[in-house]
Amino acid sequence: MRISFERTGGVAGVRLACTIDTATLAPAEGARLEHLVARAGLDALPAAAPPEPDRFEYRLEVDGRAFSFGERQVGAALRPLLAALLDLARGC
Amino acid sequence: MLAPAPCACFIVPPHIHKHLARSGDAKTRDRALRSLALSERVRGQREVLSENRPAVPAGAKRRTIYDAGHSDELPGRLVRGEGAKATRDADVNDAYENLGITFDFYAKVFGRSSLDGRGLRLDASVHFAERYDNAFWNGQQMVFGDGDGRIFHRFTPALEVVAHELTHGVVQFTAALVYRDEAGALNESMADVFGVLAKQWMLEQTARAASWRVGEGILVAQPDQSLRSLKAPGTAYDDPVLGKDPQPAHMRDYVRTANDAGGVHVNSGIPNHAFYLAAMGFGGRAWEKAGQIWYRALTRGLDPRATFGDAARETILAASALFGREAERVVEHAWTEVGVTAEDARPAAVA
Repeated sequence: MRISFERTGGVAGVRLACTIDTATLAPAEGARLEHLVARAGLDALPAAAPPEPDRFEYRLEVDGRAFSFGERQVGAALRPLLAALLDLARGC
Repeated sequence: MLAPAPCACFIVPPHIHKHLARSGDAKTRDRALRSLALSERVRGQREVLSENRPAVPAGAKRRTIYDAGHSDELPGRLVRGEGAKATRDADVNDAYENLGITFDFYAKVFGRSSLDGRGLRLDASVHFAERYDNAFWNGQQMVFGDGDGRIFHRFTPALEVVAHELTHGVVQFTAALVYRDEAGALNESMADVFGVLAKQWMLEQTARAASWRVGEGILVAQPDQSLRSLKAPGTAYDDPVLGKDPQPAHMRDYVRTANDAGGVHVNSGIPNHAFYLAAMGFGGRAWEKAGQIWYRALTRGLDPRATFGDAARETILAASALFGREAERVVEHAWTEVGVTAEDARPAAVA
């Protein structure tokens, strides 16, 4: 599974991004990430809220399917995936 | 961090707490205030401190700091009210101090009573969510994460960041600039401009002596870098993980993007630099002329859909009204240098 991740906005306005092919990760880590994608509820995101100053915005591409959403659309299902991707992006 | 208030607090009726909260002894008042807030909150009433008016004259600052306890529920537990002594939590104390400096800055420099001009209580929650590397104004209060410890330090010690966030509140109550594209970049720029001005005012710095940087000391790996520079947009940081500061300083380099509400944190570099150039053109202390001009444009001239051209026109008009023809030329020149003129403004609405 190929995942592109990008976070923009926030008061810092800095961009954090990474592109990952789960096949190149350690098997356990790759499987965990695929599991988090499957559980993230990307097809059932709540409607976008009007932009609020200094909140984060996310763009995610999973095997060619693109999703973009704001911080306030992120619920409990999506949070673990974003946390894992942010960790990867911080280390990229 | 303070220990949770003992359950016994709830046995004391609220009016007793209210009485104690008004009593002269600071320790008693502090304790009573906290218990009162806690029990009131349990009753689902957040506005407890507004009932405590006798202790605070109208127009005075009223700060209330909460601890979100790493949850994303706001506001969290009340940990420090106005006049209460410092806690052992540096984030609580830094937020309290920097809210106070920003309040004083708006009051003394612009004669503005809090964010709304009517003495709004300043609320802030610290320790929001887990490893949350951000700070924001949610339309009602300030929210601070702890930073992630890897890229971002905590935000509360940076006065210009706190003043940036509170200025989003001022913008909300004045021009109400829509947070997208050019109007959004102006919203961001106003937050940066008044953020750095608050710091310059606190340090009594001239425009020439000031750093003009936002977010100094925030980046863990780059202690000498910052997040944005009004003096030289595009030079604030250069880091292996974050890349290079993408801010333009001229209209020809305006970034068109779907990210970040249309690049509001990127294109703010253009009006930011216009402000810097105006301040340097005037010389002296930036809040005395350039700051007054931008404040007048923000509070009297701009509307929610304002463009950079509108900002040029309104600041030129404000310069003329406040300081005359020579000042008008300084501001006009500043905007020309970043590739924006008053002729780019949308046609003025017929009054």
